[in-house]
Amino acid sequence: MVKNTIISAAKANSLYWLGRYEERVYVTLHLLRKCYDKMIDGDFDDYWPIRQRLDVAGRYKTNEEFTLGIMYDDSNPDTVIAAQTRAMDNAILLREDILSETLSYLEMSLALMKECRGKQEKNVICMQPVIDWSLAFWGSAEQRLKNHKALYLMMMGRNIENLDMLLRFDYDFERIALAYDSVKHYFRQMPNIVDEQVEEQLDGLLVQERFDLGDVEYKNGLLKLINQLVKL
Amino acid sequence: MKRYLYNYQTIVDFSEAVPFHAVMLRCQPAGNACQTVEQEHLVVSPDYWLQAGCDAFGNRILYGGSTEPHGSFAYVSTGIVTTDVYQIKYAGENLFMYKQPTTLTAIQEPLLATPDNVLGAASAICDWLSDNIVYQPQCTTVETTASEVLERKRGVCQDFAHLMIALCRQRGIPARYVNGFIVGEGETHAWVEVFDGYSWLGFDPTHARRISDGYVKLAHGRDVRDCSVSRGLYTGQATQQTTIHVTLQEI
Amino acid sequence: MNIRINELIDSRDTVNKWMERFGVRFGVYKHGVFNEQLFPFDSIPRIISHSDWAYLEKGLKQRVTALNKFLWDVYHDKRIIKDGIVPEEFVYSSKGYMPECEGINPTGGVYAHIAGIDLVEGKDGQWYVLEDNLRIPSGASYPMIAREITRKVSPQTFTQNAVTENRNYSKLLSTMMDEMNDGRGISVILTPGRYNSAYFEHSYFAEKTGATLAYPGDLFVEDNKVYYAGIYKEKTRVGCIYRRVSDEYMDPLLFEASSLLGIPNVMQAYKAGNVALINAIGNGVADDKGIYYFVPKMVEYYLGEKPILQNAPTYLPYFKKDYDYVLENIQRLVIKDVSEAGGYGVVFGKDLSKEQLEELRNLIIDQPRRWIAQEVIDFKDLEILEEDKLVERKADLRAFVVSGKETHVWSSGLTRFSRNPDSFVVNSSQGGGFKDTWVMEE
Repeated sequence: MVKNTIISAAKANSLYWLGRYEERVYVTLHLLRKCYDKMIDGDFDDYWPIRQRLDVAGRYKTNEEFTLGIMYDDSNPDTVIAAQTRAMDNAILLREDILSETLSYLEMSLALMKECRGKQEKNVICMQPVIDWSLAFWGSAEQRLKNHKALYLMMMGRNIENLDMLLRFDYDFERIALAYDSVKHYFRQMPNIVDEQVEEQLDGLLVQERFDLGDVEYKNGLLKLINQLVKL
Repeated sequence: MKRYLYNYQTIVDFSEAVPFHAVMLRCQPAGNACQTVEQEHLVVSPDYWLQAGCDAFGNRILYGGSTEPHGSFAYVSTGIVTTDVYQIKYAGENLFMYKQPTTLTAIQEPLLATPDNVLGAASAICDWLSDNIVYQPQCTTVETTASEVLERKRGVCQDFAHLMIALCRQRGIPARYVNGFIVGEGETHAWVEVFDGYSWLGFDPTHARRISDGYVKLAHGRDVRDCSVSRGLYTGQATQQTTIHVTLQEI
Repeated sequence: MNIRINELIDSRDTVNKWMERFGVRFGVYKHGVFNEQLFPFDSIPRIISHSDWAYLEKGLKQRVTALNKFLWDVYHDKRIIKDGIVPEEFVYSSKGYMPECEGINPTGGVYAHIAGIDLVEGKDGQWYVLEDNLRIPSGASYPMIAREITRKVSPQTFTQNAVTENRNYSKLLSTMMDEMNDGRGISVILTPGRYNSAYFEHSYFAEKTGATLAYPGDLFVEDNKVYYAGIYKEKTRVGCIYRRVSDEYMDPLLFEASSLLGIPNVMQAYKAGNVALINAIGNGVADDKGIYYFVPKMVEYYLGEKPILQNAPTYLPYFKKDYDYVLENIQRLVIKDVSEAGGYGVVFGKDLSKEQLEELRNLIIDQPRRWIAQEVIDFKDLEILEEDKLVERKADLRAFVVSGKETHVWSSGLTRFSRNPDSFVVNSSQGGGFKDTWVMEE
């Protein structure tokens, strides 16, 4: 069988978004765990900032409603299950590239989420396998994707999502600069895919002197640019 | 023997550039026992690849397309044709195909007595159509079936042809749909060929007559779907506007 | 034959968990809404003895060879019609006959690269062919993955029983695709898309064969050749398309104009010999219900051999002798409408009232060509595990025959069973399940 090295536009899109959504699952769970940990002590000032950012629209009233919601509410696009479902929707189109073994980690994660939702499992620890499987998913994808360009597209999605999340949650400059550096690492592999003008603007904005996520205009500008970086 | 100059021109205008357009055309006169193409010319939008071929019914086709974004597609097919008495010798075609009803030509038989011989029957059907169906432009679409025409009692040349084909086939007479040019200016025309056991004879049900001359044939088929003059498909959100102009002039 | 399957049966739940893990599903539309379901798997395999299989294998090869010759003949010399073996109206009035395929020479002369032959075993141990599927037979992926999983979950079972490997189906496919491709370019599997009921199978085959899964819009024709389109105007030549899109949707410039699933001008590239289509276009003329009757005659006509496999006893009211027999015995026959596809238009005489029988009789008198009649076969039931009870259900077997340069019969098959004890319908869209099919080595 002659190997096909060409990636269709639709497939490139799926690879990129699979990377983004799967990373969102991971980071959201990470943040939720952090928030959950702080909620144990019940110190409002301590957990509220992060809780507020996870539930931007303010949908959930109590802390319990919030925990269940962020894990299982698929009508809210910012939840773990919504991100996992979208990751799955893209991954299902890529079976022959990432292979069934890789896909199966997402199948299991989604099945577990639905099971936990059925039981209304409140302890975030029930999602630990999802974190494990997410990492297994990345390892498996890296091992099994024979087409390097396909892997880069996914990694691009993963790293852009990471950068996006870190910005939303007001991480410090060092972490964000590092995340941006990872993104740029993949740009160098596939220069075709990057909007150079956007990249230039970001280069100008993401410097220590100008960095201020407290400035809403600055922050929103960054988020907007990050989401325009890739031409797909 | 008569000589005609034909000129067929189509311009397809897209509301915005389309990234992909594929076409299949039957815009060149057929060559057969009673129709000879003396000379022909074809002008097509650049950037289109085109190949000449033949379809399942023996018609000449041109097919191709473009994968570069573009805003229009235009072509002109022109030349000189000489015609003889409209009588095309049987060339071994599969007659069975032309005896079976298709989706567009299936009807419930109306009450209509016709003579036993093919010529008589075809003429009677032509007369019946002109008595019972009103010619009315733009009252039907390319998808209108013979059965709908029978119900609404109005139509254009395509509908007259489909209905005549349906009535012939119900009588066991092989009949086929023909696309082509009629003397004068305007659009393409449609008529019918019936098989009398030896040859295909032309009838124009829209004008209720047997064809002698003044007609130049492009293609035939079981119904219009087999032999549309132009079929195309493009991607994107654009809408298209098509302008067609036909001239057939005796020279 | 000493078969030990207790361990396998006990591990049913684990097997089904693994099925879920691999996403073994099929799609169903209910009230216009797409839903995916797991395809219920019954862990008790259908077991076919070595000797039974040797017989079936020989018969299947023979039958498919004859069908391929018939398809070539129909679209070329038409000897079988001229010699009066098959009346022309059965060929030309078949919905599957496509005049657009006249004179086309598919690569290697093969039409039915993948044939799915539906068989049943009678209570008397005799196998009968119920139907030939020569267009887009589906279902081979299920026993393939079931084997993959059961071997993982219950290795003991396969140590103790000498079961012929069936995961080589992908190799049969990829070899055949390579042969048909003939070095022209890449091979693709063309799927109608994510919401097709057999999407799992399309993507699984792509994974296992190394072919590219192509979606409508990924492929285009330029200068009579087919290409796969990449981002940034890249393109690569396609030499072979295993298409899971029906004939009438394949080329919107020739067939259904509204089709968004096809590739404009692909028929011209195909005609020019620049691409292989798997299966060939126009195969429907050979798996038509009316043509089925003539398949044993094709075997004799083209191969000069006695047919090894039997049809279910079938009558064509088109012939005077059969016409009389059918009208006489209608109350105990199955009557099928030739023009209806799938399980539709199938009536059991025994289920009809006196008036209904009379009505049907009149329909047959009116249009004898439209109907075929068959004797009701007494199926051998298979055991399935329902909850924790063993029950008996109707089942059939779809055998897969792959033809490239040579014809191979896959040593397995899709065994489908009906969940409803009274039903003969084993279609997966009607809630049936499936079993693995074991062909024994000795």
